[in-house]
Amino acid sequence: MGEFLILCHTMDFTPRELAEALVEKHDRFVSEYSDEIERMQQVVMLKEKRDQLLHWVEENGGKDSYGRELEDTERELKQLSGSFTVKGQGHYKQLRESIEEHRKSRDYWLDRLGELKT
Amino acid sequence: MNEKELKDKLNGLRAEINGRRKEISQILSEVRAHQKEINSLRQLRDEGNEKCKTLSKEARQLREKRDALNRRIGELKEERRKISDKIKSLSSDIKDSKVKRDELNRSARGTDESLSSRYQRDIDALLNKDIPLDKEVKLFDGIFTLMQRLEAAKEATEFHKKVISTYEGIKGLDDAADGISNEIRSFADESEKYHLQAVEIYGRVDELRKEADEHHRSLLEKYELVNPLRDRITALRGEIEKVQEEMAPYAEEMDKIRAKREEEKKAKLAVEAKEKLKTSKRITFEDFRAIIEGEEINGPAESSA
Repeated sequence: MGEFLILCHTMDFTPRELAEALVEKHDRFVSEYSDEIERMQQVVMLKEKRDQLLHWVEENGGKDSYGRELEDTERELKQLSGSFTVKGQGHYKQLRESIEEHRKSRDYWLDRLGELKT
Repeated sequence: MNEKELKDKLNGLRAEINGRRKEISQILSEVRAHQKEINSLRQLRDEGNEKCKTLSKEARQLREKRDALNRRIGELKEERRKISDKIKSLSSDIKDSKVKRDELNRSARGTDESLSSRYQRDIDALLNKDIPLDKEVKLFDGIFTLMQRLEAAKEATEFHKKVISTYEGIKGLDDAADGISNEIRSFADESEKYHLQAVEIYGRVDELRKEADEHHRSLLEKYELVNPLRDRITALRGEIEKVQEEMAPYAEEMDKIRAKREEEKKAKLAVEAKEKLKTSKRITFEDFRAIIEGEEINGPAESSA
């Protein structure tokens, strides 16, 4: 991110350098959106785990190892949810499409890099 | 020539001399009258010439002051010309800079600030915003044109600053040229003052010189009048000398006749005195002197005493 800001304040860059910065930008967006999807998937997975453990604890009276594991899962879910809110599926669908677009864009700029001189 | 003829001749010659002396006296009286005017005219002429000399010296000093100021004015004009040339050169620079600035402004099609702002916005969108590829490509292709325009705008700004700075330089030179012009005007006024004073004095000198020349001419005219008179006096004196020379032999001859008559008279008196002495035995002193003078003329008597 720091490198982008530097480029924002200077005009002494070549087309190739700008193309390289764009490749890095798209990598950054791909990485950022992938992380968000991954964290959403992790939350979803923890929620399913918590529901399953809850079911098992209710069936076994909560005095076995499921109870402790449920507490750990609840704690982990709470930690994760504290800094992250799961949004609607439309949003993640859009993120996936964006990731795809950014990959295409990155590939485009990688191709342009081959054509551009330093 | 007998005594009468001699006497008439001498009297005639003396009359000639006297006539000429009288004429000399009349001429001298006339000359003296002219001489008085000559002296007065000479004094006026000499005083006029002296005044001309003094005033000419004064006018020359004024002219020297005027010339010194005119030389200084010349130097100042040369300084002003150099400044004027410098202003012309700087004005030409401004013209060139304006042409370049205007060309660059036409290339830039925007101000340094507006293009810079647009550049920042575009580069930020390009590098930080999630935008579609087609828009990204458009921005990418446009950003370098924008960079060139921004560079042109910055160069135009530099030329503009140069124009402003040169204008300020010209203003300083204009002020210096104005200062020199004021100095020139002041010196020119002073120079003109000295010039007019000198001209006025030269006018007076001309008048005085004319007057002095007039006096000189009058003096020459007087000399023209007096010189023939002096010549006439000289001629008369020469004539008197000639008459006197002519008179000399006649006078001599006349003196001889008179001397002879005197001797004869004395001899006669001596004879009479001797006779008187023989008869009366007593003679007067005059008789005695007549006897003595008679002996000086005729030699001593043989034994009459």
